[in-house]
Amino acid sequence: MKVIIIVSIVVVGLALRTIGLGSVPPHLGNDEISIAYDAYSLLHTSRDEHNNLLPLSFESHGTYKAPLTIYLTVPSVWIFGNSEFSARLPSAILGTLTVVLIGILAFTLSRNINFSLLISAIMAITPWHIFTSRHIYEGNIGLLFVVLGVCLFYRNKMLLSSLMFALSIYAYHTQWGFTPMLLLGLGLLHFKKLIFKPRSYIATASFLILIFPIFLNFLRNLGTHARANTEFFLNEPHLNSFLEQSTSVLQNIQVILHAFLGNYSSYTNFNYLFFDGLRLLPDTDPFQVGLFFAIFIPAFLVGIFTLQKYLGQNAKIIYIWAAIGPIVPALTIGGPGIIRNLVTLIPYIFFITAGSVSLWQIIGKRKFLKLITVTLVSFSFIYFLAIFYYHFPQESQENYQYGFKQIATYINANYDRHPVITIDPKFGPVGQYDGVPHLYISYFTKLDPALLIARQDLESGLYFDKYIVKRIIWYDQSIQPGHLYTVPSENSPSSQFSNRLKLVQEIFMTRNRSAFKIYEGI
Amino acid sequence: MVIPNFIYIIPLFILPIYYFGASANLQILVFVSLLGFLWYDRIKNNLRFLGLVIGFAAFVYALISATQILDTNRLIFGLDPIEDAISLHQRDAQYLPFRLRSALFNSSVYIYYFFQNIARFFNLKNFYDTLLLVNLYPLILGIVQHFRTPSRKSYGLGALMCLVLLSVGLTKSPDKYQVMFASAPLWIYLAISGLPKIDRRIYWALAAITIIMVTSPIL
Repeated sequence: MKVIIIVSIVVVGLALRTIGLGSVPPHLGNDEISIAYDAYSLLHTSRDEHNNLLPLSFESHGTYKAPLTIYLTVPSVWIFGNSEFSARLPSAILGTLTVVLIGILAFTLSRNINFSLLISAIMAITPWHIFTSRHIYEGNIGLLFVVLGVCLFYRNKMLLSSLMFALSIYAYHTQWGFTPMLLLGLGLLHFKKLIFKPRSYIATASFLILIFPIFLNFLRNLGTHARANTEFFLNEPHLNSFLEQSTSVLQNIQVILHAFLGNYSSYTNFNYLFFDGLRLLPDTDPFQVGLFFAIFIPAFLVGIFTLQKYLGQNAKIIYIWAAIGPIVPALTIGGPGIIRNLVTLIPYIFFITAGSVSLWQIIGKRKFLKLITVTLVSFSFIYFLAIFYYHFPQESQENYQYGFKQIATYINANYDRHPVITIDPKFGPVGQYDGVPHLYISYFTKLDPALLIARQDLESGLYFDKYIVKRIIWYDQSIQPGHLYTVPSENSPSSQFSNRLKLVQEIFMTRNRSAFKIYEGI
Repeated sequence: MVIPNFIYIIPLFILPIYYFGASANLQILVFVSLLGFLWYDRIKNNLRFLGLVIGFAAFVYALISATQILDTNRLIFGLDPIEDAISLHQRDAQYLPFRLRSALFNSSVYIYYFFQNIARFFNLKNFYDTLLLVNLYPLILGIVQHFRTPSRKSYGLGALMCLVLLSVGLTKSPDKYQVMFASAPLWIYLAISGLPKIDRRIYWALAAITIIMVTSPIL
């Protein structure tokens, strides 16, 4: 029976993470296309788009990504080709693996098989984890290695555990701060046990040796720490001005403390956790979905107090995990980010599971209450499916730079007809955002990566192969016969250009909203 | 209830809500209702009933004044973005027959919005901004104790908690100082209940952080 349950959980978890992977989310996002393209570029040249040989920090478009996710994406792109599916598949599979691993971790800590099955089942249907597993997010890969590390630690596989913790640091930047803090917590909790074990010293040394290359990379200023500089919370303009005006060290401390606690609070806000954290729909839409189902709030609250009943002394590491989880994300800029904070998913799922079991026991034999509970959880799940798999892809196309892939598809079919292709990188309702069309075009047209590496990044635009990526201002634009011009629809040329330009393709989003127009010079 | 060493009570009398909160009349009401709560626990005769009645009335009056839930313009119902979203999703959800669409997307979203309003309001920042970080520690211990020892007294407090949640959930954008001020008796009572259980090292560490924070130029 238990085998059937385990298989069912894995099948459901995998289905929720892989069905329609190419279309939900509707398009590869800004970070996703960068990871996908770098994986493609590595596959063919062993270099990233910026010509760095097997880098430990990927410059990307100034975001300096941790390396592991990109290297893990290479085999998938190699096997399945250049598509959304191939790029997202590793994350989806490793996400499903995390569903299994959290059950193993729970069993390791509790020795309770029912508790372990329930925690895996809840994880399998948790919106937060489904969402992150369906994107190529480094945080999702980092989470897997943290769970593996803790699991192996409690199974006394110290050396393997240190390897997993080291890999977590190669997976995502949050883990640079989180993993050492968690290790410190584990060390303090099990100090008496570890201090006399030579294996713990070997594991510690292994961990330090394994992370040394990325640490060295950081020290050498190969761009890795630029990420920390740009994302650090004190770079918020209003905080910066406060710090500049402050007259003493104490005032600096006060400003920093306020900002940090404010951020920490936003990461633990129940509205964010249970009602609108995923931001699947526009801001004013009340049909938002939280990181967890709102119906789990009572279980979460009760679980905080009853977890010890199921995990005994091992519950302490979950409490420590929950407390330190938001610390690193709270040190970053730009409000709560569901990826930066993903490590806290694990303790929160533990709380929800413990609370669910406790509340189920309190309900006891009251069948009517049980029926209501099951109905509400089922309704929440169905509602999430509707919002996530149907409404979200329709409402969020602009956030994912929808249209650049469709432009690439058009170019693919007509590449030889046009000597020069000029692409306006702007997108959005009024063309207010800068996109990265060079990556979408190169990835989806399978352009030789060496051509993008050899690009020229000039003030007038980005030049590679036959492409020019620059803002098109029609009055200044030289229009040549046969040349192709793609612009966001808000930047359509006025009627006076109608005798020099022919509209060859228009790309639409849902509700017939025009995203891009492709013109040919005549 | 044993009132502990008076020094631990002091932070409860210097709450930011007294400064930012409300009018003098409301301050009097708050303290009257606080007395009502305390009497409830300590006095064994008819005065207890009187204290309760006055306290409860003051509490309700203060809460309604703070959130203005009697003013229909301040209620969450009939908000344009919500009504628009209901129509939009009913139109877009073409994977369902029309009748089922209105079963999934309808005005019951206000219930969701009501709970969302509560969740949005009761966050860590709102609590430490209004009640000070140091007081949150005994407050949490008091709440835990309240739920672990269900009694007649707890049911009364539970009812008041529900009243606070109701008023916050129904108000469009509740002001944190006004609401926390109006419901101060509840928080102060719970914090006092939690005081005997505090670990003094944690308490003083939080007190030190609180002092740093309240003297900050950006409070």
